Amino acid sequence: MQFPFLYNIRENNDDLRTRFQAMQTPHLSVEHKKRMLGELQKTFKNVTTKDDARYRMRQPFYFFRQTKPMIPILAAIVILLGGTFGTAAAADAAKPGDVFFGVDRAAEQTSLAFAFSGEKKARIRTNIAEERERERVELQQEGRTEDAAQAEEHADVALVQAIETISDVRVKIEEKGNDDALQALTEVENRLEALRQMRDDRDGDADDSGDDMTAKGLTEAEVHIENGVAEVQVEYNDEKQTFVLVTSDRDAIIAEIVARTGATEEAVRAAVRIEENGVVDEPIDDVSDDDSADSSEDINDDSHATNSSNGEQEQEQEQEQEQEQEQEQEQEQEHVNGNTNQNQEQEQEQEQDREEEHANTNTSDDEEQSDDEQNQEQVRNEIRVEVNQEDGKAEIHTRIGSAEMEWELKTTNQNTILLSISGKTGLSGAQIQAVWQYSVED
Amino acid sequence: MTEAEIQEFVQQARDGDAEAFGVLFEEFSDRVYRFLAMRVSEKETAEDITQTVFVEMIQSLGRYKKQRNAKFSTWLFQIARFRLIDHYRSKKAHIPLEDVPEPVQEPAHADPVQDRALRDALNTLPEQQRTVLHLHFFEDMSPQEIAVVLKTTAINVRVIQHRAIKVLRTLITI
Repeated sequence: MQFPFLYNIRENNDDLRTRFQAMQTPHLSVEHKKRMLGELQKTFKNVTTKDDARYRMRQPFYFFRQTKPMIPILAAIVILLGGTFGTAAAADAAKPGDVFFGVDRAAEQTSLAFAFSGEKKARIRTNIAEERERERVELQQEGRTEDAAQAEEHADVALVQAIETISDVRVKIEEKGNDDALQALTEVENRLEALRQMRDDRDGDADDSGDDMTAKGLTEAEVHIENGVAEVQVEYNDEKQTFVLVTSDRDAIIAEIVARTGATEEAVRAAVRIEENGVVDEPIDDVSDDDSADSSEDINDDSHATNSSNGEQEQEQEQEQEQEQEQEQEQEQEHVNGNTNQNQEQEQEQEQDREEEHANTNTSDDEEQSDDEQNQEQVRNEIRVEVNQEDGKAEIHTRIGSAEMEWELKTTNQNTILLSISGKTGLSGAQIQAVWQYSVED
Repeated sequence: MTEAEIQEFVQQARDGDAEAFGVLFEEFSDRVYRFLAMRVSEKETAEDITQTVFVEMIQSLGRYKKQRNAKFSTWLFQIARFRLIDHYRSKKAHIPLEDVPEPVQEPAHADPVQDRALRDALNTLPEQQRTVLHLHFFEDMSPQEIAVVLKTTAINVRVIQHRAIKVLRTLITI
């Protein structure tokens, strides 16, 4: 678009141009011009020569002059950014007991607040739990025991929070049927499981830490196996432990005792007393007096051990029967010799004695069985885990000694439930599964 | 001298050729001086500012880049205008045309009556309008080139020029 006055400027100003060009205007005199050029030539040689330092310095000077007004602003930006990133970096590296640890946690809460997807929240929670565990290890390595204890609490709390977040998230994802999200969540769960395992190992290490101080070794190791569940009682360095394993495999039981106590496998095998369904295997040392090779085979193969012990019982019974038969034969001969009445009386007395003995034996067996049941019941009473699954939720009630806990998870996934219980109680998965009462209501 | 020739001398001057600089000074010194002398009260002041403009030209030659729609003279008059504004700021002075020194050489078709009327009319215009008219009529610059000197748009230059000529015509016909 063009305006009419613009045409006017172009077309009608020739007269003015003529008048302007005819006007008297000032000019430099020849002398002035020559003098000025002479002075400028000196400046030109001094400045324009590329080897001249001033020539090379012009560019930085120009840059400085242009940026000079912005220096305060730039300085403020640098300080602000430097401060922010410096503080963030320092906070991220902070551990419990450090000045910036609070900032670190605040930053974590902020990132949680800005995580809008459940999967993202679960991932951040897991990251936090891993960071707490890492900090705990570092603090221990640095010898800051008090801070390490504090870090341990933080680590436990973070782990439980991560487990609960994941259980909530899993329910929602399962409802939506988002397979990709479930896959991603499973990866997070695996990380969390590894973390939980580390925590269990940490507890084991803590138990081991007293070895050098007391060094009394394994003084008691009793295993009662019934219906595939083994209740283990061990005393190591004056410290008693009772735990339950869902296995009757003796190697596995011994391995678990080794892991929990820190005693050597040889020591455990030497001390362990295993009772399975009323049949007792004595420690290897006792058996080895008779036949160490056989006894070791017995321990390594529990079915074989059971069979061999049953075989010994049968031999004893056969010997008793033979003795009875011999006595009867003698009695018959005496009866033939005319001592019938007395022998009959003796026989009756012997039968009565046998019956009494038999009765007494049965009574003692019953008492032992009832004692075992009581012990089992006692263990169950000491560790009680009840899970009631209803309407896609799991109500959990635990009692360990006098400590009781009750909470609810919005999931029916048993792995998640196990993780949650383990996180809150510190029990291992096997311990929980051995004692839990799991009920499902439609 | 064509713009291409001027650019050639500029390049040589940038490479340190003093003679090339001398050619450029010969080409532009009177034009810069006229631009300044018609706005300052004293001849010596115009000379000083002219010298300052060329010193700055020497110092800034390394950064000179030819712009589209702009000649070398456009860049030089831009420097001259900035130094003139610096002078105005330092002196707070407005220079009447009556005080302009007498020219060394008389123009060919000078008419003292018409010359006086035109100078009086120009004297009443604001500095920006006077600059636009000067560059348009004396330097034969296009609105785009004047816009570079004034650091504004070509449209704005046309508007300023239109208003200045309108006032000028009214004044010189009275």
